[in-house]
Amino acid sequence: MPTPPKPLPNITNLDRSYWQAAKRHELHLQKCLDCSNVRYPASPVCGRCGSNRYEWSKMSGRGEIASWVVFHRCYFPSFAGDIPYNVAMIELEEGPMVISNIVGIDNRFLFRGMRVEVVFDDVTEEITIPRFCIAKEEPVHAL
Amino acid sequence: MPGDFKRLRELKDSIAIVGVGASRQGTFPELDHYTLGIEALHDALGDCGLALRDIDGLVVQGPGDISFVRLGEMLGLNPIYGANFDVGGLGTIPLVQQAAMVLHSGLCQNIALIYGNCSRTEGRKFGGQTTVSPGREYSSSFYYYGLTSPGAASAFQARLHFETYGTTSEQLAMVPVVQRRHAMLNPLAIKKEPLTVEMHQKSRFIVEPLHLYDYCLINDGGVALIMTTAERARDLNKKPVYISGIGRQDTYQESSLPNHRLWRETMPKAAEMVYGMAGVTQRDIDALMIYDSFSINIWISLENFGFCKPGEAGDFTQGGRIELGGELPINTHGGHLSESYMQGWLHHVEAVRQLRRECGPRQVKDAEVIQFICRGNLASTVIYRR
Repeated sequence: MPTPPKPLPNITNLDRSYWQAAKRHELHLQKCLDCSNVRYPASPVCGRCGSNRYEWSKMSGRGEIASWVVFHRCYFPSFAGDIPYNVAMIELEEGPMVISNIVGIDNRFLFRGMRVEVVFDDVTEEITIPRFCIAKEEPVHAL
Repeated sequence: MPGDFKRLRELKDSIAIVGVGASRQGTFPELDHYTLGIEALHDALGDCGLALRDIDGLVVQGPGDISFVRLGEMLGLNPIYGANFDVGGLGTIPLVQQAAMVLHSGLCQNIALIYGNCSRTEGRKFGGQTTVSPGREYSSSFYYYGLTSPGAASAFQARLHFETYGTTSEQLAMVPVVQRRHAMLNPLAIKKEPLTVEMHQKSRFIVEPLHLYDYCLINDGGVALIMTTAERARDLNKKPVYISGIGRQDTYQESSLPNHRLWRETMPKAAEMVYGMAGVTQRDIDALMIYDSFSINIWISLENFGFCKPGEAGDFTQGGRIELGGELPINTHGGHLSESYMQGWLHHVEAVRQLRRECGPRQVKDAEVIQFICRGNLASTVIYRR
C-alpha cells in the first residue's frame, strides 16, 4: 500500500515570505523596525511595541534545544514509518522559540541545551521545510 | 490584581452550586452527547429540587458539536441567557465564572451548566487532523513536523521539568497511582484495577517522556451543575456550596507553540486573584481538584499555586501527602486519569460532594474549603466552601 503524503504547511499571506525564504534555503523571521524584536509565529504587528513596521530578516539558523519529545503513538498514518520520531523546541540565537525536528541523531542522545543549526528539506517542488541538526561546534560523542 | 478588586469581592460567597449530576460514565455506542448531557441534567435537577421550568440560563459544552440552542430545542427550554465556550477543558472554570457573574448581575435566577461528551464512541483521538479551537493552536500549527495532541504539549513540559530540576518519570508515576487508589473508592469511576509505579514504568510511551498512565481516559458521559444566588440556594434540597473565589489569567503569547515556561507567567497571577478574593491561603485548602488531562499538570499546578516551590513537586507528591488521609488529598474522585474524562466538570461535582460530606469511604474528613485549579493558556481556579 502506498504511504499517504505527509501534511504540508498551510501557507497564508502572513507567512508567505517565511516559506519563500525557506525555498531559497534561508531562515527568515519578522524583525520589528521600531524595537528590533524578532517574532515568531508571524504577525502583522509587533507583540512587544505594537509597531506595524517590520522586515523579513535572515536568521543565523543557530540555536539550542529547549525541550523535546518523542512520538511513539502514530497520529498521522503518513508518519508511521518515522516512529519513534522527535519534535523539538529550539531557542534561536536571535531569541524566538521555534518548533522543528532534529535530524541525523539517535533520539537517545538529545539533551537540553544541545546546540543545533538549521538544514533545509525540500519535501516537494514547492515546499521546503526547515529542520535542525547538531551544530558543527557541538562535541558529539556516543553517536 | 484586576481593575476593581473591591467590586469583584462582592461576588465572594454570593453564588452557590446547588445541584450536581452525572450520567453513566463509560462507553455507550448506542447513545450521543446530548442524551448523556440531559441524563446528567435530570440528575442535577433532582439533586437540588428545581424543575426544568425554573432554569433561565443554559450553558452547554463538550468536545464534539454540541449547541446550547439545539439542546434548548430538545428540552423545550427558552432561557434568557445561553452560552458556550469552545476551548475544551480550559473552559470549565471560566464558564462557572461567567455564570456567577451573570447570576450576580441579576440577569438570570438559575443557570444549568450541561456537559456532554461522546469521544469514545466518536473515536476522538485528541490528535491528528482534527478541528482547531482557541487555546489549542499548539496542537495543530505544526502538523508538518508531526507535532499534534495536547499530550505532546504536556510531554514537552514534563521533559522540561525533568531536565531542569532532575525530577523523574518514576516520581511522576505517584500521581496516577494515588488517583487510581482514590478511584477504587468511587462507584462512578471507570478504572478500578490496582495500579503500581512499576506498571506505570513498564507501560508504553505515548509521547515520550509520558507513559500511557500519564494520560487521561477517553470515554463517554455527561455532567450537569445548577447554580443560583446564595439567597435562593438556602431554600433548596441540599446544603449550598458557595463560590468563595475565582481567578483567571490568560496568556496568548506564543500560544501556537507548546508552552515552555511551565505556565509560570500566568498561574501565579490567577492564584493571587483567587486567594485574595476568597480571603484564604493555601493552608486553608482541605483538598485540591486539579485538571489532570496529564499527570504533569498536578506538579505544575502545585508549584505555580505556591503549595510547594518550583522544582519541588516531585518530592512533594511522594509519601502519601496527596492521598486521602494525607495532608493535601488531590483528585479524590480519581480524576481524568482514573474516574472519567469529563474535561473538568466532574472535578466541580467532586468538590461539591466532598463539601456536602457525601463521599462515603473517600470522604475528606471535615472538608470546609476545596480548590479546583486548571492550567493552560487560560489559567483558571475556583475556591468552594460549605
